[in-house]
Amino acid sequence: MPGDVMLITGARKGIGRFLAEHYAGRGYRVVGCSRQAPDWTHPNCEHVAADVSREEDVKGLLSHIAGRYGRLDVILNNAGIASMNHFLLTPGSTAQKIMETNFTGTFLVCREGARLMMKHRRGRIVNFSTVAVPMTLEGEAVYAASKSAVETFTKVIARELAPCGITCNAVGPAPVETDLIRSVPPEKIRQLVDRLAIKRLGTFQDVANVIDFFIREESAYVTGQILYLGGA
Amino acid sequence: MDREQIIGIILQCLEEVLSGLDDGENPGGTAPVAPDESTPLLGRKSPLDSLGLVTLIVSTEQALKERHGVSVTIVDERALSMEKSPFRTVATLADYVWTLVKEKQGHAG
Repeated sequence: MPGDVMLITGARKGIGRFLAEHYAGRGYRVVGCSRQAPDWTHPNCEHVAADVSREEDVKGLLSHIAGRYGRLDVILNNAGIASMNHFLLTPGSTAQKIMETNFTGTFLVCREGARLMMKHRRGRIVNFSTVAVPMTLEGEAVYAASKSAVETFTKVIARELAPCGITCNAVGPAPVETDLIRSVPPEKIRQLVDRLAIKRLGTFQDVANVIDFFIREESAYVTGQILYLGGA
Repeated sequence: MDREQIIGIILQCLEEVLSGLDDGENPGGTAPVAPDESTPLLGRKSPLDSLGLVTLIVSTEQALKERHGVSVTIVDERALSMEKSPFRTVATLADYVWTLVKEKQGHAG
C-alpha cells in the first residue's frame, strides 16, 4: 500500500532498479541497498550501502530502517549473482561467493527483516529464484543450487512466519536483459527461451506483475509459493 | 542498566506474548498465571510454545535496543552450546542477557 516501507536488495541496477522506481512511483517508501552507490535518485527512495552476504551490514541496514521508519512492510530479496560455467571448471571461491550472496544474503535479510515485521504482525517477503531451477540449466549448477536453497528456505519460513501475519513467496524470472545474463552467449539464451512455453525474454514488468500479486493485501492467504515466469 | 531492569523487560515482553495467545490460554490448556522470575520458558510447564519463545526473545532484544540503546544477540552460538540452557526460566534468561549486556558495555567502555 502507499506509505508502506519496502526494502529492495540489489537496487542499484537491473530488475532491482526497476522495482525500486516502480514502487517508489506508487508511493511506497523504498529503501534500496547495494554494495555500490546508484547513479539515480527518486524522491521516495533512499539508498543504503550494504553487502547482503555480510551479517554486520545486514544488521546495520535493518537497524537503520527500524530507527528511521519504525517499521518494515515488504522485503524484495532481489540481490543475486551468477557465473555461467561447467561445474568442473568452477572455482571453489566462485561457488562460495554465489552461495553467500544468493542464499546467505536472502537468509540474513529475511531473519533481520522479519524481526521488524513481527512487531506489527504483518509483512510480505518476496525472494528471488530462477527458471534455471526447474529447467536444470547446464552451466548454471551453482547458481541454480543457490536458488534451490532459496526456494526451500522460502517454503519453510513461510510456515514459521505464518502465525506472525507474514507471507513469504518467491518469483522465478525467465531471462531478463540485464547484466546478470550479459556474459551468457546469445545462442545459450536462444536455446533457453526455446524451452519456455512462452518463447520470449522476460521483462521487468513481468517480474513486477508477480510481485504486485504477492504483496497486495488480498494475497494474505498466499504463502510458501514459487511462481516461475515464461511457463518453465 | 542493571539485572532488575532486564527482569522487568523480560516480564513485560512475556506478558505481551501471553496476552497474544488465543482466549488467554497457554498451549498446555491451563489458565495463565502472572509470570515471575521462576516462570519456566522451556518444557511442558512453560506457558510458551516454540513460536512464543522466539517472539519473547525478539521482543526482548528490541526492547533493550529501543529503551536502553543496547544491541545484543541473545541466541548465539554460545547460548546454543551451553550445557544448561539459558532459556530455562525468566531468571536464567535474565542472567544470560545481563552477561551479554555487561560484555557489550565493557567493549564500549
